[in-house]
Amino acid sequence: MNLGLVTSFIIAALLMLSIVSMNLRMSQSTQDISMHSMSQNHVSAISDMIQYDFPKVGYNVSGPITDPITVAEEDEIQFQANLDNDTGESVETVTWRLEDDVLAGSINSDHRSLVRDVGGDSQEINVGVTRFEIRYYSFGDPNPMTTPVTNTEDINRIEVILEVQPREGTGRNNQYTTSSWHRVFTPPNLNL
Amino acid sequence: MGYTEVIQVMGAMIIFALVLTTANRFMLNNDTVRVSSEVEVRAVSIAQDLIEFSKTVPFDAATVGNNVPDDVPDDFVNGNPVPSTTAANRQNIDSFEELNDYSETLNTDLGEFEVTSVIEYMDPSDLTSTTTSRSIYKRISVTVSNESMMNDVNLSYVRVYNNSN
Repeated sequence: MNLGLVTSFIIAALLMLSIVSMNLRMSQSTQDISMHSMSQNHVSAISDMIQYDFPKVGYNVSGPITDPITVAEEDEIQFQANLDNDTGESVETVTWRLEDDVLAGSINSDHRSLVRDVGGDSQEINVGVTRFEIRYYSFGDPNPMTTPVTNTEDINRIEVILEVQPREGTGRNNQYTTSSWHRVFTPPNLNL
Repeated sequence: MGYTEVIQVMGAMIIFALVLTTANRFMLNNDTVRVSSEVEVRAVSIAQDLIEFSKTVPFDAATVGNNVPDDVPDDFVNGNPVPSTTAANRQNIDSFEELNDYSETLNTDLGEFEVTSVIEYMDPSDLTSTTTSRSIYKRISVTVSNESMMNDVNLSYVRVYNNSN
């Protein structure tokens, strides 16, 4: 067989492999960006709701509510607040909780349901939350308090960590891109 | 295979290498944008955190302990210039102006964030202008930087003294 022909076949094969590999990586990169963008939109929507609720911890029209935080766990918080600024001073009990069970129907085994409950009106957020962690701080201590917090009246800052992953992974190892959001709240009514 | 074919193959390889380099650069840019958007979101949160903290401390050294100064705003801290803080961390900050020239470094999973803040008096007749005279308006300007961000994040908040803070 002609040596030149064999060599050119080998080079052509290498070239083809490189092109296929490049195409795969390009499509994975594009898929990653799309997935990440979707996750970021979900993070943005959830964080808007969190930012609506958390600064109002202990708020009421006539003055702050005494000991407004009733449950302070790592994945659950329950507090009282006059969320809608009702002049009749009806105070709502607000709960944010990350369920332990894997979200039904999701391919990603880390997906959990995030629940927001306001006065018994429960709302499940099933958009790929994989982490919802709450840390509690007391004044003058940079380290978080041990959860579940028993002396909730000492809490004056609340840190929320939220992570969202897409339903499907990308690449050979089925990797999930993660969008995260951190925020430390210093509710005015816990700091009077 | 003669020299002509070898040169043609080498030419094709060079063209392909250029295409590959461009594609790699495109993917790297995608990753950079993705990471920097995450970092920017975090930087905004960090800046908001410091601003929220600043709202919880007394407006001025003269109002610590809910004290109401006899002469407002002349009893407030000097504004020309506002003294630089000596506080090394937030636990040592007792009043709003102690955040002037304050800096801290936060180590996170997205790298180090450098946070700095500046306090200035604001002109009561024009709250977009700073003044060196004492007034009941003070502005905190927070800057957050991270090596993965092309531009620093700057947020500011104007706080007003209302006899009770």
